[in-house]
Amino acid sequence: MRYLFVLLAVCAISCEVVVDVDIPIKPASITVHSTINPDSTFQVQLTASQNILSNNQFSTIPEATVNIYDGEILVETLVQNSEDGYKGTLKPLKGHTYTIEASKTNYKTVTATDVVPSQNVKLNKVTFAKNANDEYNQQQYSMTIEFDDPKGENYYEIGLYGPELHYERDEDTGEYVVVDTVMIQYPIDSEDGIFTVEQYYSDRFWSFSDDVVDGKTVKINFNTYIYPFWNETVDEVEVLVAVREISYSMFKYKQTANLQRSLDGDPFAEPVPVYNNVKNGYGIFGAYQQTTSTVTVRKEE
Amino acid sequence: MRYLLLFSLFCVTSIAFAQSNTISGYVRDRETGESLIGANVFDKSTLKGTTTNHFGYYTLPLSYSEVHLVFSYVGYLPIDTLITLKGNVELSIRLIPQSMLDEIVVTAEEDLVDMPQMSKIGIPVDQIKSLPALAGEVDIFKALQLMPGIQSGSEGSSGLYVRGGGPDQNLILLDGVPVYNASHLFGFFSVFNADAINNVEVIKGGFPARYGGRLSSVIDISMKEGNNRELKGTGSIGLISSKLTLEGPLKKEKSSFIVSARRTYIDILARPLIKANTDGDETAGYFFYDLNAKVNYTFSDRDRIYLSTYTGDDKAYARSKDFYVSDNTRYDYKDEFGLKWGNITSAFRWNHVFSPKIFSNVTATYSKYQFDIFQEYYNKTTTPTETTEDSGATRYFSGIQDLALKTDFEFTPHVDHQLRAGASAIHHTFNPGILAYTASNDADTTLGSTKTRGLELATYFEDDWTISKAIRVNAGVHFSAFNVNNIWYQKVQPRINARYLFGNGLAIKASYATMAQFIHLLTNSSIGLPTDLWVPATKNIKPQYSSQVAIGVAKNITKTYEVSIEAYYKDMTNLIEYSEGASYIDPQKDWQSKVSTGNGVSYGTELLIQKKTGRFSGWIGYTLSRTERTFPDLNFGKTYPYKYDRRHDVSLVGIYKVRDDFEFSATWVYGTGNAVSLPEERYAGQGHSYSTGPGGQTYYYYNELLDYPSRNNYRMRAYHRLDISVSKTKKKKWGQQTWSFGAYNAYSRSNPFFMDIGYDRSGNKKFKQYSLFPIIPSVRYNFEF
Repeated sequence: MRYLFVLLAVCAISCEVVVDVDIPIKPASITVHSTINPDSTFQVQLTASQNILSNNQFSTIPEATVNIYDGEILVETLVQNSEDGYKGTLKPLKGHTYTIEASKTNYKTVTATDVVPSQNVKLNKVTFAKNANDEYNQQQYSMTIEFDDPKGENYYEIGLYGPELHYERDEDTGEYVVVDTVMIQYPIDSEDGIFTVEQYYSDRFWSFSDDVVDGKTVKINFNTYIYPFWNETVDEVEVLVAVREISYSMFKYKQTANLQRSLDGDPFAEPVPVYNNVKNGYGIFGAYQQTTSTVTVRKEE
Repeated sequence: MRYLLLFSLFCVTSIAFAQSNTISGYVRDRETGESLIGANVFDKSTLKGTTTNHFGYYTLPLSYSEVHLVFSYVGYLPIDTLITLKGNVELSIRLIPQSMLDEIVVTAEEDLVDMPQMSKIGIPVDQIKSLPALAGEVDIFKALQLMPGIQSGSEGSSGLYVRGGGPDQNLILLDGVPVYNASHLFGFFSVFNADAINNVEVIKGGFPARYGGRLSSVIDISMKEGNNRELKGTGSIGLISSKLTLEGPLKKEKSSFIVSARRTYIDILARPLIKANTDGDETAGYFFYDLNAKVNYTFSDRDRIYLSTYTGDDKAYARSKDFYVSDNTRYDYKDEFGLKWGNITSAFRWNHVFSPKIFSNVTATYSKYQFDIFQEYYNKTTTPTETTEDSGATRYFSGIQDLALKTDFEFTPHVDHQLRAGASAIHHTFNPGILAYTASNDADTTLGSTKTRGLELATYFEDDWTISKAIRVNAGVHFSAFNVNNIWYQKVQPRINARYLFGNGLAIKASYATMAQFIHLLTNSSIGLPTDLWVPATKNIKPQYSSQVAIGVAKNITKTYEVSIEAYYKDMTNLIEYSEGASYIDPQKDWQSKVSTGNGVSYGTELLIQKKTGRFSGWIGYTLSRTERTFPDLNFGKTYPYKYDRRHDVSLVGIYKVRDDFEFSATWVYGTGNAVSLPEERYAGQGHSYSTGPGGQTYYYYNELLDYPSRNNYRMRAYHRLDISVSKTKKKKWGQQTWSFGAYNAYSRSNPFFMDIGYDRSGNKKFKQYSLFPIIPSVRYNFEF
């Protein structure tokens, strides 16, 4: 398909014209980014939106007032922590409905509400098995997870964490030795039909709706790499599998944002509007509840 | 069904009393023997008349003994004849074409004012050939786009959007066979070679009951039958293509044939240049061809058979081969990438006249459309001791194939009633997107949707009833049913056209039609790509339905001008679109999981002032319309303008025959810009941070998201274009030759094709509009012998 577009685009390039479009000049709006969960304190990033023809980088909005309400009750005012955003000291509670209110001079006050999911996802099974090598001859592993989905509308996302080995060259021997190990998120990939839209490469959580598995056992296969196995001396690795029940808003936002990004550069495709639950502004105030499981993977498994 | 029976009974009883003699026969061209479709047969004594059908046949029962018949057809000298009826009379007439005459004849086809049928357009093929054309390539569809209510899609495209419907909602019939993809060169040309065409008729609304299967239009194209008197040839040589048509008798007055072929040759011209620039290692090209052929045989005055076929393909390809040597090893590789698509249609038709009042036609048809993208590779590694080879191919193909049988009867029991009835069965086979891998070192793999079969059955009954001198009605019912995967869909579709004639040549008309369409076209682009998938209604994806009501007035002015104004309202349900962001070529998913369903509405007013005859002919068309779509899963469920919602659409067409051998023509079109979705703001998506190290600077990276307040929220710039053409004809000993010179987009307007965000020369972000065609001059040499 892209070949056709390229062909047509080449024909068209010789006849390109800069045109003025009567896009309304709107004052910048507050963009909220916050995905809350019971394991972490409230944290919010605020940035300012820009006109579509602006070239500027996005910058954080300093010195805003950010209030968190549990239902109608103000429970905390977040404090600007760094460029990282605004942080609180309280942790959200399962099943509670929270509203964020952010205000700043020269901006419209924005509000957004979401409910923290209350389900404790119980993983029935997580298994790893050696897979075929990929096209670059790298060893792949398959990860199979299984859990029960309760009746009703539910949304999930799945991710995998594991260690990354940091090396330094030993001046005496000339060999590289491991000096540090940090936990990172491993990329995962699935061809399961439950994933209805392309997952964005930089967001390594894969999200889906339980539409087709409502009330049933969910079983999904992923492909992944266990990076430490690239070191011949490592025979087993401990990884962390994370399954999150996510709110509808968070699901819709991630799906539509992924879709919009995946169409970038295709002028013939219908663009995708991104879901937005922030009144008077943009972004997402979402919530999730995470379950993790630690699994030991053996190289020859 | 009960109402249908009652209606039939009423019609039959109301006419049973009539005792009359019948005049019947064929109306043909005197020079070629070609049937004249829609010719007028009119009795001046009783002011009763009829028209010839698609085979040139007419039937006129009259209860008077002295009749004064006039046979007329646009571009032909009318014939007056007095007949005394003493029984049934068979009278076949051959009209003399205007080109044989010294003077200009002013006459018309079936009177626009007289017929009850609304929203019907016929453009004489000779007039289409006189219009200016893109690259000099005469195109029937581009001529139809100049009519009110029929819009083009994007720049240059031959796709038709009729009264707010999509390109899949047009029933395109070539000799009664549906053509599924009528585009060459990504939609810039249609597949119909005007040299092989006898008649073109378009119905936009008020559909007679005999038609069904699509929501928005019927484009009924009849191929020529072939000259049954002498061998004749026509041809032309143009900048991008040449064509040749031969026709003649196989058995004089009994049997004739026509063969017409066309091919582009850009690839042949470009091949040596590409090879020269790549040391012969690479080649690439594009071409299309089409071939029409038809034979007919007349067994007797009562029986005639026709066999016609069309085949055409487009192919774009790129091939490369090379080798290199390293460490005593030679590596050879070659690969080919290409895409091709094409139609094959065939029809066998048998006309039988049971009696002067009963005409029947049986048609058996085959139609196939297939699209194919392929990539093949071959690698060979040769060392001093061994040779290894590896090869593979990837194919993505989709298509649709039909086998159909139908029968139609025309029964004219009385001059005031013309009854039609018929039935049809179509067996569809859908291939909605299959991806196949083959490799020498791996097992073959096939992915994608499975082949689906469907059976479409239809029957109809229709009566064209002249109730009084002022009131004439065409009413009927079409019933169709569709079976797919053991699910049945069925729909009763009532149809009516009514006309009230005032004494001053003014007629008021009204129509109502419901339509059902059991197949969908899945398309995600605006440019009529051949990759669009034909898919059936299924358990999850329901058939499309529409109902359309129209009202209008028609008036003849001084027998030269026809003026019509129509207003219409059409609603459509169960339309499909790709879901937002769905990928058309994702073989992992069935197409049904990638679509959204919704509804549409279109309404508007159309004005047409037409002059078909005389030295100066042409028309003025204007459409004022609005078209909207509402899909629960698109645009957050809010109603949005259809991409081709066009508030104003204007066409001016003029053909001036300065002398018999010199002609000038021009067209000018104007249209409101197409709707386009443009973002108004940009904002940060989810942020990612990274650090230069412990205690170092932390940086944040935000993905950019764009805010589209609504789908199709802006308009591209208005579209307008002037095309001109002149042609000079010269008689030769062997026949005649015509040189045609033209210019498409004569004032080189940069019309919008698509829009994107880019940068101006100062580095400022701007919206950019991309255009396809500046002025394109053309020259073409035509010959006839």
